[in-house]
Amino acid sequence: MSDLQGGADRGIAMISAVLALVLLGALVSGSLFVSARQARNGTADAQVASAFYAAEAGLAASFGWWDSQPAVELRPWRSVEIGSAALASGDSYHARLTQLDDGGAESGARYLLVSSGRAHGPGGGRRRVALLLRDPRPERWCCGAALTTAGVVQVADGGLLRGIDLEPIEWLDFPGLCQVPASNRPGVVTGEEGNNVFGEAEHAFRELAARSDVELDGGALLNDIAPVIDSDGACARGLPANWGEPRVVGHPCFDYLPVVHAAGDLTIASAGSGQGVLLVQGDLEITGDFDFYGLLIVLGNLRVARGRILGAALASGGVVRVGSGAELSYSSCAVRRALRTAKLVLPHPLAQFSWLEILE
Amino acid sequence: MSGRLPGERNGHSLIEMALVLVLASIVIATVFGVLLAQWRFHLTRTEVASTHDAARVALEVLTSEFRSICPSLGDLYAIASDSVALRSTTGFGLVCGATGDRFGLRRISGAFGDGRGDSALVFSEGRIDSAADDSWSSVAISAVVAGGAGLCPDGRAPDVTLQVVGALQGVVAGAPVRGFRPYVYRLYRGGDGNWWLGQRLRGGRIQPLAGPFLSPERGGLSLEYRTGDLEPARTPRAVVQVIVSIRARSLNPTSWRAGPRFFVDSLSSIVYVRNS
Repeated sequence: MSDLQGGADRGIAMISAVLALVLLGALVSGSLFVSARQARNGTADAQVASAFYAAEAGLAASFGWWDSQPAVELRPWRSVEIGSAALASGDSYHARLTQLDDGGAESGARYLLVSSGRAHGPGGGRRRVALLLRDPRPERWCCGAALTTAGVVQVADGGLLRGIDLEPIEWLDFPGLCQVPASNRPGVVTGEEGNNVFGEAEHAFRELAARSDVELDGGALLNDIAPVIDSDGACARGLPANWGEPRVVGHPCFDYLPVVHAAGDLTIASAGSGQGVLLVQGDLEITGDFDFYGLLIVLGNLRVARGRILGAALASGGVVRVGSGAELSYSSCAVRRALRTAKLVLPHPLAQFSWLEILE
Repeated sequence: MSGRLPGERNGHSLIEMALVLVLASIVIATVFGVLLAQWRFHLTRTEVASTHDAARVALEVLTSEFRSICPSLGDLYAIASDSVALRSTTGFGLVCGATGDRFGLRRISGAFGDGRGDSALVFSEGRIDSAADDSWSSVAISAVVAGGAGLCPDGRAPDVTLQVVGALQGVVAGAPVRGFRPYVYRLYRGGDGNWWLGQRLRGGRIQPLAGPFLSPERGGLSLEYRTGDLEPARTPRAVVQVIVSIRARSLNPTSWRAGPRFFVDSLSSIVYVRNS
């Protein structure tokens, strides 16, 4: 039998065990702390990334579904909220538009579109991105006459070149299509009278060509231009030979007014019709019984043997020939409609450095 | 007669002592092993976390820079597979008014400095009816001053007024202004022998941003520049897309069983240059 008395022989086992437990606890706590910190960092990173993409979504949505009405009512240095939404992920965005200058009567104003994205959840991160935009005001380009040219104009017997402001006959039963009173213009403006116009037109040409819906190679020959409807009954946009349907109001392609850009000479031997903006980098020859409603800008010679152009034409080449079976008539309504298509009215980002992230 | 003297106790036999020593050794070794394993686990977690953080920071910095540059404007000075020299945007504002060599700004983002390398790109309207000839003019910022450029169109004082080298022409109210610094990003070998991602102002000393990373030869930092057709970009102005790949390495070994081994974490991101 042992005879331990008075605790004189207390060992160190208990102290050692406690120390070991404390040390172990400290290490476990340290590891937990490190893991928790990493988890927090990861969560914060994910939230910041979510907020960024929400902000990008807001920018894309506000720009893609552009509503010009708030911009019309804005004044320089004033802002207006133009959109906000919660995304399926639970993240959200708010978009504000600020007008930067008044733009003046001849040019479009500039805007700053700022989208703030916020990640959902507690402590959700916030990021802001922005776009610098410019309102194009496309009507400024066009048009002082049915035909504006720097060269010689030859109109054959039976050919027609007139500046009386015509409303297309097919549109007469639809008063909403031409709301502006008719305003007659000269049939043709030539020489120095048109010099300023050509300066404008060349700029217009470049800007429009950069946003064309249909690109044609130089030397293209088109025999069959006609509206095309896809299997869903909608207009099949973007096809080289589908230039919309101007003659049938309510047709699926009636509201499709493409910007067509030919990179060189173009020959149209087709019957049928088309509308929109036709840009020809070289010579344009129309030999078919083709009707075109809208704006025509030709950097080379223009020869219309047959068919009808209703709207306006600018030709900066040396010769314009209007054949005996051809008509070139001014229509402010057709021109305005072609230039007020969503694609041209849509403000576009500045040519260089339009996107930025706004740092807090 | 057998008796026990006062205070006398039974002693331990040699066997008992040996047994105690063996058991104590086993207990101590077990506890020590647990502590050592826990300590190594703790070190490993710390190293792994630091490596993750280094990779994330480096990727965030580089992708953020690439995302907002405008190559067609000359924002990329030089491109290489393991380094890049670019204009780094520091701030953004709108011109309130300009007088001589000063212009007041409504600050929208970031900050404008007047240190070495601080410059600004000021939007210049070309023909007022066309965006085709608009441009950004670069001016060096000589000082950030108080006032001297009038009020903003909304009647409030500018947030910041910049004095620049040379006179300003064609700057109108509302014109965007972008402050920038020319930076070089590359991996460099520190005094400790490790590779770090550094940021260097042109003509300045390199500053560490994150690390360590594997050496450039082992893919510590890999930058791949592409055009809009996803072909390799041959010139800085042709860059539309950048693939950033990073391989961060732990500062210390995280495994000892088969010799010291470092933890390596890799991250990769494809950045579409927004202003291409």
